[in-house]
Amino acid sequence: MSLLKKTTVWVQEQIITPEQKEKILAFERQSGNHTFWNTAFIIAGILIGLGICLLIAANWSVLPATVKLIGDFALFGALIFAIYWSIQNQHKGLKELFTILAFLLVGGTIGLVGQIFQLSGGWNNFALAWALLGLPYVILSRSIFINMAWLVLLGSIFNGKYLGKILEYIVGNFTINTIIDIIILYAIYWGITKIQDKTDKYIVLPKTIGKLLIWSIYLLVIYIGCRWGLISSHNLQAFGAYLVVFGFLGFRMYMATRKQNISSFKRNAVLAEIYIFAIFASKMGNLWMSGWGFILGGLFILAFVFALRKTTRYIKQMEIFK
Amino acid sequence: MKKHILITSLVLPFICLLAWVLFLTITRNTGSEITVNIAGYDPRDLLSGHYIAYQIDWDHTDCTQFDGNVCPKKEFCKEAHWGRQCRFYIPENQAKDLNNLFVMRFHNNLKFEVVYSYRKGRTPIAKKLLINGDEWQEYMRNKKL
Repeated sequence: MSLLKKTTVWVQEQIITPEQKEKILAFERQSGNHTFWNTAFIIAGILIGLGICLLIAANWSVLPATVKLIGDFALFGALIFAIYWSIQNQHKGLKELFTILAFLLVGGTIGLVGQIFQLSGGWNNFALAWALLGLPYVILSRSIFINMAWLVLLGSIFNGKYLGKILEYIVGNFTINTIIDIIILYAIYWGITKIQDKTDKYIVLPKTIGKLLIWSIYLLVIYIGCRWGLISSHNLQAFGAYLVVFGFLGFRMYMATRKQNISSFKRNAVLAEIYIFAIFASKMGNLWMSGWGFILGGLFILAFVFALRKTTRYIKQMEIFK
Repeated sequence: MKKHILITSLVLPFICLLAWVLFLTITRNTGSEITVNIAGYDPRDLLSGHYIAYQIDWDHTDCTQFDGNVCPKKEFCKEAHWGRQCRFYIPENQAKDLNNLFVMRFHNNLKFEVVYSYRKGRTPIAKKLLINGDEWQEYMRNKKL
């Protein structure tokens, strides 16, 4: 429920007065900048983390295996320390950045170990190990991206190992299977969070079904966008797909802003970013180049955010002096 | 108490991954080296990198390397729909050339083999990819590929 809706209900229930409602909304509008900062940190974290994974996948032969392993574990250790430090010092944005990096680096490390020791394990084992070892970081993070990524990982385990075999005969399409798995898992996740909140007594509610329908539309649009926008060799078709995806996500972000629904805004922003990364990766030549492109893109966002933050503070200070 | 839980949960994945690496290193270094002949599929790439997907050609592998002169076929590689499939990861910048060599191996009369570290009861770990008896990097360097 958006803050606007919540406060309207509170006024109707006479919990707060209309004046208090306006004050709360005005306060939230002012502090809304944190959402922007945190989203920027999350996006930078995703970019840098994916970049590191791509560099690992490129399997650069110049570096010996031992050096790669030592470098990877040193980075992992540093990230653990950075997460602890950011929690202790209450840096929410940095905590999100480091947690996402650590979660993605767990996957990267498993990939690196598989590469160095020439392991033939399938995706199921890889995804299961990643989901289990990455769980502490998923719990620590408040980002919707990391939650969704974890669910997709779980979905892919079930798809390959259990559900997939049954659904293959029914649907006969891997992508549809994956979407169904994600929807089932999202339903479970949604139910659990509702139980934890103690706001609802039942796992499946009409609202949940509505939410799932919205998610299936999201996934369908992204699927069409990927299918046509990334694979198609016709520029016009690809451009049309970009327009559909960004138009849809942009409209949802606009509506979220109007309704002051911060979580919806974040969700759409992250989906748009993921789609940008997919285009970026498909257009850039190889893993090595894409990896560096991602890392530099993430570092650019971080530098931009810090510069913007400093500038904003400076302008605010100037206003005080006036 | 909460601080301890936080530190433990943050460090636990790190320790698990490190223990895994140590276990694999010990397994690789303590096993005896055996060489198997391979026949293959095309290399594919996933997020974990480029690799050659191959099957072990047991008909052309020397089984006297193993105890009792019997090849332990089931201990090698992962079961797939079409048989047991193995992987050998290769650097991205050399993947295309190696792929071409692998696909054209019969035409060019090339013999592809993989050296494993093998210890009974443990998962065998691939150590080297050989082309006509030379390590693949060395072979490609000599051929200026």
